[in-house]
Amino acid sequence: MIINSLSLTNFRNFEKLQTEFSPTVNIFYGKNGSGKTNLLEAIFVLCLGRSHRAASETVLVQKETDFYRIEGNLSQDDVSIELAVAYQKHTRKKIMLDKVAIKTSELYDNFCAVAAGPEDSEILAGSPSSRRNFIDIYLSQYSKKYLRLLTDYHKVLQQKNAGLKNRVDISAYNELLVLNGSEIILLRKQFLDAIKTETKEYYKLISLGSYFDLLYKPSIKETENLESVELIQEKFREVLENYRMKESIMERSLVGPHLDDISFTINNLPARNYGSQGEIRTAALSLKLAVYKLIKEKRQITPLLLLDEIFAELDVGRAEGLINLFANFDQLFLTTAVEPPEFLKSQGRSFLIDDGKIIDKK
Amino acid sequence: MFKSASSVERLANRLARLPGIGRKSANRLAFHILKLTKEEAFELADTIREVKDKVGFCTVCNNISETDPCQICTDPKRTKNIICVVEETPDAAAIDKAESFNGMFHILGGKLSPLDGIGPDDLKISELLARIHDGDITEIILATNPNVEGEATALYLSGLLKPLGLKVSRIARGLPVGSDLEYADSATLSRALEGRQEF
Repeated sequence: MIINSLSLTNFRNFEKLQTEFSPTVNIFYGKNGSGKTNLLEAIFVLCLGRSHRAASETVLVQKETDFYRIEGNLSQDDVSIELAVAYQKHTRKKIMLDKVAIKTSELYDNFCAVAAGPEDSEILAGSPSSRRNFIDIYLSQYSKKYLRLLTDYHKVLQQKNAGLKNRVDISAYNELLVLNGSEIILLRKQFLDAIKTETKEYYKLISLGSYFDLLYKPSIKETENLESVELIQEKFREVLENYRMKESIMERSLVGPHLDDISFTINNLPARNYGSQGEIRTAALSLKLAVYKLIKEKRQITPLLLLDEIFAELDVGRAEGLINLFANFDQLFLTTAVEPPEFLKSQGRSFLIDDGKIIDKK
Repeated sequence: MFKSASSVERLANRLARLPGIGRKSANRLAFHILKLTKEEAFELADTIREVKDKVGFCTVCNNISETDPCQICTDPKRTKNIICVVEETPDAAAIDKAESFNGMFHILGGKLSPLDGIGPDDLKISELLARIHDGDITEIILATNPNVEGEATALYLSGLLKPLGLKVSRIARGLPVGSDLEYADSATLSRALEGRQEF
């Protein structure tokens, strides 16, 4: 899939923007705070209906306005598609495909995008919620079943928490939590296993020999027997039973996939505490390379690739090596504060961004 | 601003409380009623009064009815030992219209939804248990909606009913008849596959 053109209204620092893209490489360059990253974010929101920076809808709206609108012309298998995502404060977000309203889940059916950037350090060094966000964004693209289970899971969780507050019988919601949650845990386990294998390879390659590892830590405190839904269900029920008293005192749900975590290690030391900035950034990028490869293989669509400032600390030779690792990308969007590398500039178009405007196109 | 007569405003306010009626529709309806002839308007009022006077709930199945017990509960041609449990009256009406079920109904009057403050005690569950206790019931069909709240309600009921030693079944979920596979959404399709039956 290719984005041919994009137009923005009141999105972040872009009041009005209308531009065409190259079907191959698009480079956004300009000084810090000009809005390069915001453009990548707009493209991500257009494809998947949410920000990869996990920002709330209200912060996406330009200051002193109350709505944003992103429109784009895309082509997929030579079919042209008009896509629009619009949000007005205090209302629901609207997504239109060829002028027909669709659900967010339908975006996931048709499009995929992988974004990598400085904020990825959060996946390794930030709070557990940034790790869950990472799994949710990319596993939802990898498995449609996952997105559906997750949506239902959160509805069940809301009901359970309301039940705990109002002190009504929640046994049925606990059982639904187990049924949905166990499938979520299994899919996460399988996805993270696949990511682990790939990331190890990439990390070794980029860091010239260092060792990366990850461990999925479900909140049901079981890391071994996660091979079948039945085993997970059994464990989940047992843990819920143990937490029953505590949950009713605390009046909220204390166990389940909404509290899962992942631990990352670099050279056998926890990345969060011992990883250097450089190690963490390299590991985060390796994770994204892995995710990109897995989604591409599974979905048989090449995801849009959005790379934010990934060259900041690399010399040109390594930058080229890195880009080549994302083998055979279709369309690439990248940002850089410095002069873009020549090998990329020659492949597509460059856009000079300043203060929410494109001031030069080449 | 133009201020209309206060009784018209009051009528609009009342109408706006109805489900699916917004402020604008309520105003439009109120002005429409104002333009009706006296006979037409009174007929509407009388019909509302009549509905509230005559129609009540069946004390057996909680169906809306002008008689008690309702026509379904007293119909001699219906099988008495199978009960189909639904959330609301229109659900029962829809199942009855399909003419594939000739047993009894039990209307819960809602679904388990702690978010709306609805727990088991707010549904007609003890009435259902009483029916099972008193009558010769062999099967309970759980026909709550196939969404999160409906599933939770069905799970809750099956937890209560299974220990009583009767057959508890859940209506199948899957493809609408006459539809095309290629247009079915993935959630429905995967449910249909999970619920496949031997041919």
